[in-house]
Amino acid sequence: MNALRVLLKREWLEWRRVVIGTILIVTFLNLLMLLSVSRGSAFFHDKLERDGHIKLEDIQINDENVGDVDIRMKGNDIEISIDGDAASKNIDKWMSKITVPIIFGLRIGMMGIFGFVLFLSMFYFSDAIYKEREDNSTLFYRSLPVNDHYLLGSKIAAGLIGVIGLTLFLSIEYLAFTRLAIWIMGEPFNALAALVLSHISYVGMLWDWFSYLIFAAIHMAPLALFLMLVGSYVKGRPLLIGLGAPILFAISWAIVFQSIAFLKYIAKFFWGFNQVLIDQWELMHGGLDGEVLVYGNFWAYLFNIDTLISVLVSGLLYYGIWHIYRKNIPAG
Amino acid sequence: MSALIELKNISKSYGDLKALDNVSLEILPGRIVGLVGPNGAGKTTLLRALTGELDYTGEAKVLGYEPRSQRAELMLETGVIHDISVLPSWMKVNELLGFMDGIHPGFNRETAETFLKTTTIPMDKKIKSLSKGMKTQLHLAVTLATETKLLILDEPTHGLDILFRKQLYTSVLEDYFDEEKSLLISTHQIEEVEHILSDVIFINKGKILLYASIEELGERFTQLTIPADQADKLRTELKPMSEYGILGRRVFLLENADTQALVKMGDIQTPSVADIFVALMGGAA
Repeated sequence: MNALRVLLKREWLEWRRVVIGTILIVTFLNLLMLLSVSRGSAFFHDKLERDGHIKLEDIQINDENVGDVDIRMKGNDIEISIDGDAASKNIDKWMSKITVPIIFGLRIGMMGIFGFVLFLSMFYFSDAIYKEREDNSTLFYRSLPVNDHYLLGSKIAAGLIGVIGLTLFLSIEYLAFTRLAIWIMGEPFNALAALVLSHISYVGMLWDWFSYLIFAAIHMAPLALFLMLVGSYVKGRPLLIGLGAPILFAISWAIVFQSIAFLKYIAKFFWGFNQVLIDQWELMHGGLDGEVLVYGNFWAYLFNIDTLISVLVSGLLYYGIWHIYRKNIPAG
Repeated sequence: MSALIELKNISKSYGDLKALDNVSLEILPGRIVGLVGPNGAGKTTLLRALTGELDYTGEAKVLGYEPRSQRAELMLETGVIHDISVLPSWMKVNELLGFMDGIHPGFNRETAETFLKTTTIPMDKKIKSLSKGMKTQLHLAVTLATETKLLILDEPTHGLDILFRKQLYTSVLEDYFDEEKSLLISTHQIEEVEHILSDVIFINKGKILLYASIEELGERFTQLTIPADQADKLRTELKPMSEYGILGRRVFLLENADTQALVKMGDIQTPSVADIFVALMGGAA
């Protein structure tokens, strides 16, 4: 296990600049968001000061008609009324209903982060073995008292831990920035947010998100291992070949045989694990109450035929990687 | 005494090319063995088979381990310096030492750092920014600082200047070798290492041509220098393996000759390993 720890540290040393660079980029984007929010809130504050109130007409939540929402400042207090009714019981009812789409909206932001990290991870997986072949360091590592499964396993583990860990870290940062954005916007938005956020458990949301990432990692593992396999064999440009060759093949198949079967499969692969989000979106339209949307059906999502296929395919790809890795084919 | 390395009918082919052709030999521990052959003879292929880096047919045991299936256990007791630069180019020198410290139980970081202090290698530089000689020095430092029973050097001085080549073998002998350890050195520049060898293996086109100790070579082969005008007569009589001319005289290389009789014909001496090798390869100056 010490060898695995040292090898994981090796991966961190090699790729730390990419990780740190990613954090810096996302942080910069979050700062840009704060700047936009700050400017946007100035507009609403001006309107509130000028008109004495903000009126939002014909508001709907999950296709359910709420009505006209009126927000006005009374000294330091905020008064919110819906269709003229300022009863706190009804306000609370609607604020709790808005929780679900807000969580979904936050999750969309986190999905964007996940997509960005996934994109970067393709470079990692395609280069994980290829870079060793380029500088012949595979010979060095295989001259050490470490078996091949540790050498390869450390790369796969580092990639998966890196994707999940970095996504979680950046998601937490993103949520912190959204909270900061609300604070910057000031009153009455702080008060509105407090009403909504009282129904949200950030811990629950992040646990839910972590569960989803585990699920996504299992379903993306075949792609990751396929890119590693390509990287262990081709003479150059492993990512281009790993992604380009299947797409080119699918397009050629579509043109020659007038069948989009392979194109559909590729699209299904990349989109399929988002079925979770699609299901949740559908549920929302069906009308949920204001509870935090936990994964709920996690075990059903995890233990199904698609997961089994992913695991089996990943196993086969790993065997191929191990078989070719031992041959130490030099890069071009 | 059990053999350090035992090979039985080891063969390896790359398509139609037979890189190793039924190689069988036994190397005893505590020896410094030179593996000599021209380019493409199969030296590197043989060494990589010994360290489990490639597939082969036949049986092999190195330090009692089967190289392919017990590679990790074997590498615990074996150090290797390859004929090409293999250190991770992205690592810094101090990161490499830290990595070795964590991954190899036999590695002594202090020893490596002491060795590196005698060089001009900066600790905070990436390996890719080092010269070829520095990379070899670094790899040597790391390998010599690791407690192993067998050290394999595959053309370690390839592309390096004469000063460094001399220093490398001196370092290996002074800092590594003792009667408990063994060295296997592959080279096609035999004149550089023959003075330190105890045994020599000649290999060509994947076959072992000869495996003998330096003492046996001295007993088996003789170099006879004669006046040029006697060459034609003695050539027919002695049937030399090879011959060449120098300063108006002819030098014959003879195998299993009667040295008592040869003394009367001319000057005799023990031939160099290089001369024996060239003769066995079928070349003649």
